[in-house]
Amino acid sequence: MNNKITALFAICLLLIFISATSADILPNGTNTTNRQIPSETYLEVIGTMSSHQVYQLESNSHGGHEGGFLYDGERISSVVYKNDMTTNGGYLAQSKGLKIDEGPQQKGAFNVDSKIVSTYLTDPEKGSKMVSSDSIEMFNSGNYSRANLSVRNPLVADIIGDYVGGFNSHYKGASAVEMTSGQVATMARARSVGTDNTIPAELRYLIGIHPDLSSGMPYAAGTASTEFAMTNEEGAPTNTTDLASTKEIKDATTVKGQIFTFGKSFTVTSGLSPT
Amino acid sequence: MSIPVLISADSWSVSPAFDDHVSGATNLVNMQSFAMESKLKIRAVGGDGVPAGVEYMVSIAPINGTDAAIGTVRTDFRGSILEARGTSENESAKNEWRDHAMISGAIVNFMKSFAYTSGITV
Repeated sequence: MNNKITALFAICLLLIFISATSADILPNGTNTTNRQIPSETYLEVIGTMSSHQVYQLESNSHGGHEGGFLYDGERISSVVYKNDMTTNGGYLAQSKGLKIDEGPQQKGAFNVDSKIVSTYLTDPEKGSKMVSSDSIEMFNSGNYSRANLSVRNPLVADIIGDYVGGFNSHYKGASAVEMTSGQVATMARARSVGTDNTIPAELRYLIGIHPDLSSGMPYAAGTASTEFAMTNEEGAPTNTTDLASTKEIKDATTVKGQIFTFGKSFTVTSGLSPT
Repeated sequence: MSIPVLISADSWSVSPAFDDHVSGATNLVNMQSFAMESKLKIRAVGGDGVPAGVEYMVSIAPINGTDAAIGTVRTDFRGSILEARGTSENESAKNEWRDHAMISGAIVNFMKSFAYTSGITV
């Protein structure tokens, strides 16, 4: 039996990244409809399954920018959430919930909130597997200069109040999994619309992989990759020629083999605290 | 056998403008024995301050005495929303979503639901 095991990777990872960036000032809600769209899926099947889920929310504090230019005080945000999964046989049990609330959020609440738990066991006759990918991305940009129609660029001359002159931010949390047995849990959350200017932008991503103990195997088998990223650039109140601050974080991990435990989480928040 | 279930809801209003399209559909293909439950609620007409709403749920389960429903189920939910702010000519918020799922084989349990409601405050 040992001959069948060509490689053994005992992987115990628990990595937590917390990143505080800059001052993303979120657009508030349009106060038009503030749609709420909760959805749930529960399934248990022996056979094949495929699913595709995508949600995109774009919000603008004004009436829509023109050609990449932002008005005085204009903020825009965009969130894209995607989830895909396919199996070509075997046993799959899944619980999936996606809460969407496009309205303005307080700190601690989110516009997009996804939680998925999937348990999979291969069909040994087919050699079937489960393949899934999951990602959430957020782009925020703002112009806090007095100049109308400034380019989406944080190089601005003046500020209003105590906020930075301008900013561009990108946050991303993503994972891809291919496995023959095990349990995968992911959580993806983003807040891109705030109730007022004091509400910081936030993105959270978490993935955990565990053995499916009911299968009798003490490990999950397969490959898992994660990608976390954050970039941010800001302009200072008075500097018109240089960026005042740039930040960049990238983290990529891949594990492959017999996975006993794998956990990784990422939180990025703008940490805004206006005086 | 195919049982299409199709719903849709469109709304137009004023001050400020919005334009919503929402749909949900379920298809059953070559199902042999199964129990199906579906629920659809739509609120499309109301007074001021009463939000539009759609609730949709479909559930597939084996009938008594069997372990699983056999066959293929497809669901397709989608929607797009445009909203304006004040008297602005361009949209201020844009939502788009799609949720597509297909399962095939021995279905021990399958339930999918979505709701769509406005948190409007007039």
